[in-house]
Amino acid sequence: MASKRTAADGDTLCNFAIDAGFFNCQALRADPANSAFLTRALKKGDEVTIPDLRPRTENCSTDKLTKFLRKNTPPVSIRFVHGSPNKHYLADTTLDFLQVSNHITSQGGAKDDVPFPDKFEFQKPGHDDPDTFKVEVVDSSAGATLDATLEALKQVRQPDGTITHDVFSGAEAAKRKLDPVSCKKVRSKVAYRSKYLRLVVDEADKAAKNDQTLLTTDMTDQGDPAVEILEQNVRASYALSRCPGSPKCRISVPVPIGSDTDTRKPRRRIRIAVHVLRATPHGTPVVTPADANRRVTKWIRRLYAQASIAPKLVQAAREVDPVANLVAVSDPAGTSAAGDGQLGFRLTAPGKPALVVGPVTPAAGDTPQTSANALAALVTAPYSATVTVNPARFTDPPASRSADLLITPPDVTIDNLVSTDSRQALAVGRPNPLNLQSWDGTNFLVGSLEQRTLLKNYDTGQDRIDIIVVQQVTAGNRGEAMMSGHQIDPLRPAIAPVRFSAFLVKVAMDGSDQNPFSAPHECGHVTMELVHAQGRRAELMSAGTSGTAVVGGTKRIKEGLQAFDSPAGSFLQLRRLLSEGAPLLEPF
Amino acid sequence: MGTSQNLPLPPGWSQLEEFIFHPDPYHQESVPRGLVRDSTAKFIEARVIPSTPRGPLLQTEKVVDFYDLQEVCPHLRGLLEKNEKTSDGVIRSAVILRTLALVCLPPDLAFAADFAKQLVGRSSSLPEFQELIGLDDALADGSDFSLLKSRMDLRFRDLDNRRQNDYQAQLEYANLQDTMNVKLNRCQRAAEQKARIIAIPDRSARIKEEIKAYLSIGYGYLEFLSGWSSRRLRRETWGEQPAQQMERAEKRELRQDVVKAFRSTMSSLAPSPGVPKENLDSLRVRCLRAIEYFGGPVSNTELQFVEKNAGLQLDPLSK
Repeated sequence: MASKRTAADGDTLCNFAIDAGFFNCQALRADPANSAFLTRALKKGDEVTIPDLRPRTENCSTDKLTKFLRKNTPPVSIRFVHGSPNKHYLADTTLDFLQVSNHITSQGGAKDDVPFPDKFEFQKPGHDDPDTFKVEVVDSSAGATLDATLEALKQVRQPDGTITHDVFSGAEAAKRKLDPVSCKKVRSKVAYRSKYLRLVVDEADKAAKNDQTLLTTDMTDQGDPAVEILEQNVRASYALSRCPGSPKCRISVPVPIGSDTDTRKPRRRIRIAVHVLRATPHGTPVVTPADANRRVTKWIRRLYAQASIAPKLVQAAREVDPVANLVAVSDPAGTSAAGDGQLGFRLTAPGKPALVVGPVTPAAGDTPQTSANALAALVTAPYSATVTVNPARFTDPPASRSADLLITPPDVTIDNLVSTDSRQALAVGRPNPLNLQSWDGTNFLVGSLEQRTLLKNYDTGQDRIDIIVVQQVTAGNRGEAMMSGHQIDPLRPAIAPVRFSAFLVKVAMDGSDQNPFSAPHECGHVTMELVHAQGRRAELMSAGTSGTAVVGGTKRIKEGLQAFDSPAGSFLQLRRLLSEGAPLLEPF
Repeated sequence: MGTSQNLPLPPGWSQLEEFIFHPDPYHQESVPRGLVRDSTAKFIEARVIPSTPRGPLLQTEKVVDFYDLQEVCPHLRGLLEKNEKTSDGVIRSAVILRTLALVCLPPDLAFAADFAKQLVGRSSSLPEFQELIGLDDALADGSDFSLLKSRMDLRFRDLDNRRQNDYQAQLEYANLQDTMNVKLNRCQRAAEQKARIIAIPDRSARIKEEIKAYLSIGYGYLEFLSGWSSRRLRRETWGEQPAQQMERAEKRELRQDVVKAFRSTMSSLAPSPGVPKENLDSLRVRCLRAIEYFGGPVSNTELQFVEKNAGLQLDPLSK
């Protein structure tokens, strides 16, 4: 008597038929009860009728050996594997998630020093990248080769908050699909495997090895910046050669990109806030906030997908005014007072009375903090002052710490400086949005006076990277990171409003795709607390990032030990992202 | 058919190429150590040319200063643009003249002082004034602050007229005001301070004061005295008195005097109102590195102390 089976997603008439002992789905298709399923794939909940097997008698001589071959074993299946040099195909581990590769796409070997292999069998240079994978199809009745299909599926948020996956639409689907994925019979004679494959996130990498890569990237430029690479699935499918249907039954296996529990590259999110400086108070921003957001949802997303980290904008990019409301005491040397002069200044703000602060006469030996506190005590309503103490520069002893007074309201004007102590001078921070004062090799954990003024006004917290966008910086850099510094120089670590921040210039945050790696590079400094990678030019953390997203560009976060100049030594960057970046990361 | 091959670069040239023309911003203050002077001078003569931009010129200045590279003085003169017509041109010439003023012999200093006067007359913006203050600082006796001050006054009045409707003018106005009221004044006071130290006739007393300035102890105007004091201490190894310290000629016995002075200062380091005890280890590191720089003996224990306490500390007088 015929039986019923309820379909789940991915089931096919053929796999129901084979499970029931048929060679293919011919008998199921012939049953009128299944007529609705002849031209479409099965969906979850479909009730499929399984007809009874029809017994047949086969006569054989009892004095001869007769072989009977079960043509439907082993069952037809598809899965992802990384492969191994010597295991039987059945013993190879099934991959239940894939990862974006962090190797040069066209290159193979642990050091990317040989071409990426394009053969089917085990190849050490392909195996060396732990993120390579192969599609494996088992089909005992296929020929010498067979074709599978690989495609990226985007996440779809359901009204109840759950996430399902579906194919990308239109031309995007074609870009994110690899069809055919040729698979060749391996020694088992029933399993077929593809060449080594990689997930890549940009078009240049895709083009570099078109038939061995699947593009799994963002949709920012297509108007959907919410599409996250690490929320996508990759689906491999295979149309059974033995299926008599049209279209043929197609088995498939979807796996996610990344895993929260992977020990090597667990999925995480990194919190980011972007602030775009206006060229003048209440004026035009140096780039549009939309363009700044785009750099995050496109390039930071792409670059960090290889480390299984996704950017999370904790707030929409905002425009901020240039301010000039910081008074520094003994900047930059942080020396104590000589006691031979005075310190003071005047405050004015629109609609408020002027206030002359001081002058005070610091005593010999007064620290910058003491002098700053003395001045702050004289700042009265409607003004107020907050004192913070900076770390020492690398050229100064660690207790030689300058101090800053941040004055509110922020639209205050500070002038008429009195600054006659020979060891302790006053200076006012007036950031120029069109050419911001850079840090230098002595104060990159302190910040320049102008950098500190912006950070002490606009930093939004120590659990995210605050990116401030300016037109350009005086040193001509495309970005300048403010690291924590607790490993780089434990005697001179950065302070809370300054650390975990970065400055990016217009050409690295505008609406173009020039300088795509500048923002990810600065985020790398901040997150890993590492300065520059030595040796390999393709490293994201190499000094001087590539101007365009070419395949050999500075966009890889190397898997193994990588030498760095500061702190001097070799580091596992993927580990470092998780350890030093811990305050900035959150579960996926 | 001709053949060609890449000859190996002279010693230090790849480091110099990197430091001068492609500096890592995190290490742009760390002049490559241990270079051979002759080869370094040849590099500068070959690679630093009249069209070299401002950034590499600033890096060149650091190299020339650190190695007291008097060999390149004639070449530096040849880099000057003369009749600078742009702000960038003025700044480039200011940097070149300052480099001359830091290391070269009296005829070059006189030339630089004379040229500086013309350059000041062509200056018209705060970035130029900032570099020219640095030039005046380097020229010391040859500087003429009054000329610079009058150019600043001119600019100040111009900015005052524009600042209501021009934010860049407003910023420059405020910063120029501070520069005139604070920085220029401090530069002048620093020049007086330096003159007083140089005038100390007793060699050991003078070296002691130069070391104090180098260690930021007691003296003010350190933004002008720090670099100067390290140059002075190097020159103390060239001759007994400042008048004999114009031409680089390192003398072993004079180096020993500086080493002894550093040893003596280090042993007397103690907390005081200007020297918090948290800074003592750092100051000892600075002394030990200077001792090593001047060829004095440093024990293994002391080297370990430096290793342990230096962090990323940058000391101009270090190997």
